Amino acid sequence: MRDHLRAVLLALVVGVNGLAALQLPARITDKDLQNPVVRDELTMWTDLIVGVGVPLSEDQLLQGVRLVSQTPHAIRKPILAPFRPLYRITWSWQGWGLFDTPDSRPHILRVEGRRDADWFILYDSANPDQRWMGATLHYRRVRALYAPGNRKPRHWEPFVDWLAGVAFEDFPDLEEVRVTALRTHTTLPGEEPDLNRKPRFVRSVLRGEDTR
Amino acid sequence: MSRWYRWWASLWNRQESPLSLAWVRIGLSAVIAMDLLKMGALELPGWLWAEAAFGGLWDLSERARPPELSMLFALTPTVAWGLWAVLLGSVACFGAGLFTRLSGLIFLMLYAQSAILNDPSDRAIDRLIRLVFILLIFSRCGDTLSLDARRRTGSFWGDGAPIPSWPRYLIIVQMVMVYWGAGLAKTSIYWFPWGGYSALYVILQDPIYATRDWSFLGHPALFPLTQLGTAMTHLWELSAPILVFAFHYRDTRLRKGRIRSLLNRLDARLLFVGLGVVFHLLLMMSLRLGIFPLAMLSLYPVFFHPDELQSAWRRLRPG
Repeated sequence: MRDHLRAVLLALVVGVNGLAALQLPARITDKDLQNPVVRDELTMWTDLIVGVGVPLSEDQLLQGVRLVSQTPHAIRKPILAPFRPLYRITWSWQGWGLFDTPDSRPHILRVEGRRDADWFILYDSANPDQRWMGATLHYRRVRALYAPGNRKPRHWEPFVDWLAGVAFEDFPDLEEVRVTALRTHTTLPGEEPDLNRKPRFVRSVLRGEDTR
Repeated sequence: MSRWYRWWASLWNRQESPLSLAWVRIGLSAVIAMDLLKMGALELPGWLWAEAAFGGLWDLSERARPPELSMLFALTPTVAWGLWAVLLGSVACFGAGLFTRLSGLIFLMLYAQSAILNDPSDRAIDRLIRLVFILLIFSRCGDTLSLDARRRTGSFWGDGAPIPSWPRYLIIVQMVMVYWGAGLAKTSIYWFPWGGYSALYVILQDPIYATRDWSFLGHPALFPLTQLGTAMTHLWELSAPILVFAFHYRDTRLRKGRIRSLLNRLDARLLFVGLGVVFHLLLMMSLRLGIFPLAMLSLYPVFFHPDELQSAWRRLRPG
């Protein structure tokens, strides 16, 4: 009896987790389409498909992807619903990916400080010589708070305020701290290098305004 | 149908020495403990896990469903440090095999709370850790190489009694799902030949993740190496389900069949595991991915039957 029970329970475990882990086509939202990396991908895939002789526009491809991606998600959701409390209490959702879409427009985190009228760089993730707080900023749980995709990280403001507070402690003569995500563009060998850097999510904190 | 069911039921009814799972318990706990120690040394718990009202990061009033921990305690920096200390203590006990199941359960539940508190900082590897902990808690991984074994039998090695194999099998299935899922999720054109197999090169140019400036890999003599790495990574991940067949064919090696004989002759399992070790070590060297590579490698003992680990140990042991 016990063997049968185990066999049935483990079939359920494998089945439910297999379904939860099943890689379904990604749902593309309107917000995703504002991301130049997603737009680049869409253009490249459309060019490829057109290149093999299938007449297709980007919009048609997008509509097709949306259609294909919606149905499986809609089927899976209610099947897994009874198991959600278990996943929630152990916070152990399935669904895996590692660099699914390489970011061809990655960011540099730059932290700058101001003394009087002079700005200077405290940390720059592209420069190994400017690594104030490097160990902390490279720590995985902190990096996750500031590594931006297309959208501003959810806790960017509290992160910047906290970082500014640490800077004011470490450099008593600082008057202001500014944190910027500089968007770069990775081009492939043989392509024209793009050296433009676009400042995003710029946030300045004056001494006394920090939350630390 | 009944033949399949009998095979299924007998598969999950098997028993083996606890050695493979004990090594996973020890290795994974060590990796987590190192991560928590680093977090403590950087003085982060009091900020990362405390409420904004007390100088921490989180405004719990914004949460639709706050973590259960916040219903018991005000999440001050002191409580956040307490959470850190209990997590570290419980994972150390679990690794040492002291009250193994209880310490594992305490760690699992509190680790989940820390994730709910600070979900952006909770990465895929943390979810995998919790999934593996669930299986380890149900297993009897504390029956050897543990203080529990010492207490019960007078020897750290335990009494040699076999334990159910199914938790190890389920961890293998989980690993296959992780790798295969990661392979299938790679839909970017950069992962394919028609995208120039340039994914690895692009990833290595990300200043936030790269361990150093890898732009020299754009040199015509070196770029093909990154293309080879991209192709190998993608194919290796996509080939993960072969592991399931490799295990089955090893198990039924006396039966006939060309694919069975080919996979056994190639030792597909060892090939996959060897490539996995190289993949994770190269990742560790080239990208800042935190505990991901080491935590994954700490699970690799599940790919080996305890008898294989024992015979490897006998061969390596001096004298």
